[in-house]
Amino acid sequence: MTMTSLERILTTISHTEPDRVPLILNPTMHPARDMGISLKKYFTSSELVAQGLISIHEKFGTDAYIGFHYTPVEYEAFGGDVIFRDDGPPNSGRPIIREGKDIDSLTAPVVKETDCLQMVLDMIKTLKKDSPDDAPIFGVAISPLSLPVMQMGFENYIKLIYSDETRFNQLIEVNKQFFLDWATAQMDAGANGIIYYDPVSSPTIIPPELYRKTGLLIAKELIPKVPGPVVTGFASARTLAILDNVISTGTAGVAVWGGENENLSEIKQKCAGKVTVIGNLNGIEMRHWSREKAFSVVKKVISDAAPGGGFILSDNHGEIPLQVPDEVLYAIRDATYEYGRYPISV
Amino acid sequence: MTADFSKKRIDELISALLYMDRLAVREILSKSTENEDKLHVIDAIIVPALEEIGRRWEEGTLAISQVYMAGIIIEEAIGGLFPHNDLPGGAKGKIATVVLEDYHMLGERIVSVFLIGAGYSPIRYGRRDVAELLSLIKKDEIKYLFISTLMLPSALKIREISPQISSEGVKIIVGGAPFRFDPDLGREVGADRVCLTASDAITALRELEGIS
Repeated sequence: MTMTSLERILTTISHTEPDRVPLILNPTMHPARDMGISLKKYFTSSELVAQGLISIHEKFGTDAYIGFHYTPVEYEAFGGDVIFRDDGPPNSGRPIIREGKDIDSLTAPVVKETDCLQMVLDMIKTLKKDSPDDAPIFGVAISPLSLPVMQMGFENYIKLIYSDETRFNQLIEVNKQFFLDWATAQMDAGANGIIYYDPVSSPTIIPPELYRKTGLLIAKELIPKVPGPVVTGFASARTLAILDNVISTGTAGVAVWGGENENLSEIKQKCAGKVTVIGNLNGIEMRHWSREKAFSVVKKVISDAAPGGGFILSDNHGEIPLQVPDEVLYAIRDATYEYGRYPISV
Repeated sequence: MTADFSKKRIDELISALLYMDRLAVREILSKSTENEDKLHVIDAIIVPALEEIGRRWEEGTLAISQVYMAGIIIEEAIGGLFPHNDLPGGAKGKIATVVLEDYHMLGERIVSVFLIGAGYSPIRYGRRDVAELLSLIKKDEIKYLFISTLMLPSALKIREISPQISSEGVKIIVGGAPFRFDPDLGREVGADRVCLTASDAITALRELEGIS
């Protein structure tokens, strides 16, 4: 029996097999190209982004909406500048924290008084109202440990972590308050779950022993307080060395990159029956894929991670580059429909 | 120095760097330079230590924060070895490091400190747009340009400058996340070398100079 998107995702996150592998693709910039408008015009309109997300859902057969405008929206809420460009996602501008005393006076933005956040909430409300079916909407909130990369720049942030525990804790406290307000506001606007975006917690960025004293404690405190399910995303950074800890945070899923020196089968084994694995298509390399290559990669990923449920097919980062052709995304969709039927037989 | 003695020193230096023990780093290097030429210490101890740190980053047993702090501490130590910013220079041509059009400078900073650790004197351009960069490398007569990227669009921007600067004899060495995810990207943007770790930058430079 064919399931709806919501049934498919709920079944897989309960670690049983749905009718087929759920698919989530997030080509955030493609709708602007299709509409023939600049990325800036697109990303600064809640109506256009809601419309764009619905078009992605219909074109590429995705099973969920990622209710998201651009990564630096939270940094913008703290007073930062966003740099828009025509060939890629908006980026954070100059750090807003340039010296220690900037942390001393930092306060969390008030969600209902902050235009850029209201824009995202309006988009989620519009999406909820206009979406043609029951595909769930995921809001996005950056973890308190990861947001400072934009707030103060990577280099200064690493120095802070290693040299000024007092101010590090001050900054995290402000970001924790903001995270909860922001995640809750998105749930109130109609999101069905939150993606907890936490690349800094990855062993790619900080050593696991430091994560256990920082990112792990923060996630364990905050994730249970979010009024809905949470999925943790690591933006294609490594996860294996901390996966058992991540599972203990109460997250319902983990978005991974089982590439380079990590292995998707091993990740799935560790997560089986505990948290849903989301991945694992290389969004950068995808630019060059032929239809045959897309089929071959999807087949391998499904074979490695889909049996038993607890798996959602997606890219490895959470945002597919503008340079990836539609044909590749169609091929991923078609391959998922072909190889992803349960029981898996590839 | 015997090979065993050198290995012991290298291991001690790596350990001190990863524990961020500045005093131990200074002691290891000052002891080494009591009886040896400073440049030899760079080649025999510092560069192998940085290469091992790079290797561990690539295999996934070290984090970028550790690589960064190790580079910063080495940069400070080199400042102590060559107190008047009197680095020997090393390269046969001038070196610069740059980030194209975004504020993610960590990679560029790490590459620059690793190069300093290897005895070179790179000019840090920081964040630049294409037009600024072209003018700077001409003015400074740069021969080796290290471009660090975090985002794919920044990596693709390199295509806009590579034909022109290559035709002027400048070698382009690139690195950063997009190049790790797409092995063909370096060729696509016209780079002479792709580095997967900061210590690869040293190897690439030496190869391009014809040293190694």
